[in-house]
Amino acid sequence: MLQVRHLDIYVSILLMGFGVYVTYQGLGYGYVERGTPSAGFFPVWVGVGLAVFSAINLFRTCRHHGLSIGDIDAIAYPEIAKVLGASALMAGFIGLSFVIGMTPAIFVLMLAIGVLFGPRTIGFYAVLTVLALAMAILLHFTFSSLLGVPLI
Amino acid sequence: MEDHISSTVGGITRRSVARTAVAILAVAAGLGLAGAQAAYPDKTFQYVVQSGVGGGSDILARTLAKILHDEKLVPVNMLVENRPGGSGAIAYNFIAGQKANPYVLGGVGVSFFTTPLLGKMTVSYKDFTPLAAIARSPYILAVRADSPIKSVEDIKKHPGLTTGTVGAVSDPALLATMTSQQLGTEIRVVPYDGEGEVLAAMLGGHIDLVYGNPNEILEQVKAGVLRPLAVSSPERMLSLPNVPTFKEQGYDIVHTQLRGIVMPKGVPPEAIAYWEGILKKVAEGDAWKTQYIQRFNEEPIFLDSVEFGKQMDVTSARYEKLMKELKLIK
Amino acid sequence: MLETWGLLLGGLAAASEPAILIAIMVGAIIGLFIGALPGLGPTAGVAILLPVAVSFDGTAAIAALGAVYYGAQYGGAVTAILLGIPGDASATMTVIDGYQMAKRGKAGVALGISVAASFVGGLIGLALLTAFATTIAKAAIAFGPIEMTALMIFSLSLVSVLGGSDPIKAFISLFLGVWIGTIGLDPILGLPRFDFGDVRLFDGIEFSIIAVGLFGLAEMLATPAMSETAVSTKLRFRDLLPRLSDTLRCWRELVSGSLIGFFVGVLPGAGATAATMIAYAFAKRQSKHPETFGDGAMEGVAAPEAANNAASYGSMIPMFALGIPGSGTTAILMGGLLMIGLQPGPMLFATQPDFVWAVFGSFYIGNLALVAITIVLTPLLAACAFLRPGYLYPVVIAIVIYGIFSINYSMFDVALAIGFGVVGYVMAKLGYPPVPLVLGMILGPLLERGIRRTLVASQGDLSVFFKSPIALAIIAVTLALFIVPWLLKRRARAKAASVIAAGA
Repeated sequence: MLQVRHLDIYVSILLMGFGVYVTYQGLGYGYVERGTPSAGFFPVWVGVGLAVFSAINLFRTCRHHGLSIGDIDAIAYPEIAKVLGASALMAGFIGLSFVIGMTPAIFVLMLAIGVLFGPRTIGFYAVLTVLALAMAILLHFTFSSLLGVPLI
Repeated sequence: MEDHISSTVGGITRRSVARTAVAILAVAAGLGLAGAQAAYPDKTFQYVVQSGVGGGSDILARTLAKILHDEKLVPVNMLVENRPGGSGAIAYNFIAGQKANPYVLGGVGVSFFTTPLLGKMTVSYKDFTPLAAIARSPYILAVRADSPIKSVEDIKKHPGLTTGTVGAVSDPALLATMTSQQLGTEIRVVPYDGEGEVLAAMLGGHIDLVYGNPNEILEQVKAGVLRPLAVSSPERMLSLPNVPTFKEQGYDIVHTQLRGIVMPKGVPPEAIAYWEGILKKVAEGDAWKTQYIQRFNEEPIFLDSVEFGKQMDVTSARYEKLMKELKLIK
Repeated sequence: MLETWGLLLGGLAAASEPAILIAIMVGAIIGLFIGALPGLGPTAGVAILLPVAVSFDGTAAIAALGAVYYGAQYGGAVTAILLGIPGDASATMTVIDGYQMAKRGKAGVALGISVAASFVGGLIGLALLTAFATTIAKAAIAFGPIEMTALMIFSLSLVSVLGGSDPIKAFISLFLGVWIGTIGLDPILGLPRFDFGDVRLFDGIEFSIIAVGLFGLAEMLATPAMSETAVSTKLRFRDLLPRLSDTLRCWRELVSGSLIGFFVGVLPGAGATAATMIAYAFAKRQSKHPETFGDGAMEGVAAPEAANNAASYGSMIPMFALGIPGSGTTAILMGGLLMIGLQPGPMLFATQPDFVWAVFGSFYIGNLALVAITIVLTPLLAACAFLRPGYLYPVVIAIVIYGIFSINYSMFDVALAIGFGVVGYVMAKLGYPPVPLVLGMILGPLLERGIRRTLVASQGDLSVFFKSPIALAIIAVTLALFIVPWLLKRRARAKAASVIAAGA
């Protein structure tokens, strides 16, 4: 189990650091030039805002246990695995599409996502395969032929 | 710099190898063409547009493709493909990456020069082969009809005038700095996101001057909303014979947008000659005049590969200077 | 006035010719379809049809392109409601309540309201377009950078209404959105910002990519594996049908949404998405039950849908009356006008009245046609929400990926959308509201442009902000409507808290 409160703290620290980075970059773009706000004006303030509010949140979360988070207190590891798994599958699709093309790759991705979210039955896999095949063909026809998109 | 030193000290470096390879490829391609005289072109041409559908560059490409097809000037097809994004970088990287491929074409827009100058692209305008320019769009300097400014000279009497442009680096921005320098005054340049926004700001009285293509300005002039003061072409425009050029009024300001077509670097000379011939026929034909020049109020012109190449040098140098003044590049 | 309606009747008659009717139907169906595809909106729809449409005869071409435009606005809501994925940027606000309704099995009702809202918004927008185009156009251009700055301050103060229960996290989300809005070439100087050395970020990140990731993909990631359906209730046929009585209940939001959408849409550069945000926040602010917003309130679907449809006609006003494209979509439409040989400009009404009125007539017919098409399709579409995730998600993810890819033909964009899906998931788990982020991303760049354009023109002189009566009026409204009530509420809450603390 990953405690949501801990995650909140990590994310706040990350955002604070990010705010400082944005401000630093903003100063590099130029804050004010010839009396008018320059390219860095907005980034500087955005960075300051991010850093300050994240610091407040960090302070608050550290002091008051579980005040800002509603009913969920922890994320189960299987759920994290599923989120990472689904993201990795989609990322894998991007890589695969450069090798075997978008349409075959989307067929593979649809099967994989279906397996991830669906029940583990033979009937389901059979329907899923047909569905994925039909969908891949339909998508290819729609986007490539009708909309003229140069698919990979 | 480092690269330069290593290439002189180390003799053969990666860069010169690449250059030799390109040269060999080009020669090979050329020989291939010579071997089978009538073979080029034997494949579909791909014309890559750096913006989305419906923009100026896209309309030019599609009109050209239509005329090439209707008049049967090219024995194969030309497909227009939009590759927007990255301020032109996506399309121009793609074209330049097709080294020595005489079946890829592209159009020249402002971003053709400015995005590489920002230094984030590995290619520059020198990585392309100019083919020809087939139209020219001058800029018209105009004010609102009720403006107290009656001539270019009057701009001096009203310090702190503003003008709008699309983005910081554009032809109107270039013209505004040229005007400022020639008059010894300062015109403030306010960047907007599109020609439409600039025109809206002009009509709404939020800016004082506008430098616009005839296509945007002429209708407003005809409706009596805007008053033209000068045109930026070397000679007066056919559609506005009463409006003097900057040059006539004693200002050294000549800058027009050339509608030019390029190919990747290293294409065989036969391909250049082929397209010069085709584009000359297009530029001088009636279809181009009625479907492009008249419809978009541009000026007819034809520049061959060498002349167009020279103009590309001039234009790039101008943008580079402007971008240095704006401190965008060092 | 009477003359106007006479001209319109003539236009309706002209638009009833079979060739034009076919053009309208083809355009409307294509628009509906493209609008429903995640990532692709009216701009993409019009762009895709443009090369084909210009081969039609003049009026038919523009009637078809116009139909794609408003058809896409109808279609955008479908995906937003059924799948929680905005079909296009301006449907983002529809996701908030529409998807909640669908999850409770009321997809049909939500779709019905969105159709009704689209129709009412369209009709009000159209009526204003027909009757007052020239007058409104003149008023709209009075809106310059100073006024835009004031309007954006007003709009950003909406975060006080849309922020949710945790103001700290709402602000963090807002700042993140504003930061995303700064990615790309700086609009004023042209300097690349936060591009991480990658030219693919030069034009910034397309809003649809963020919205699809943040709302759609994040929601799917959060769904537990092997769940039976995404919907918490059983399928009942009655819930698949739209109901007239619900629509009538939302009449206030329909009217206010339409008016807000239309007037924001007219302003050059403001855009339909900003209009939907203002309309939504206004409806919530005026509601007697603001707590139901975000939890499946019908009004939360009615207001933004009416606004985005009305906005599409608003944005046509500068084009028809002044020859200025006020938005990305109308810029392409104007390209279409030019390609068929018509010169849009201030003289268009005078020189081409037959054309203009026939096109307006076609818009009325097209809206009626769209209502008929969507009402028929509603039960069928609404049933989609009851599919089990095992079948639904693979299909939806595939469509999302193809849709996002088609925006710029870029796998990089697909990767970004996936990344924002994970970000959205983490935000949801930690209680960061996503709405302020999209608010910041849309409005932040407009605010920055407004402020910097003003100060470039005035050379840093701040006093110009106080010389515009329009801007001052907007700021006064902002203070009265949002900031003062918000401060008062916080003070009252703090007082109550201290009383409780003292009592304990």
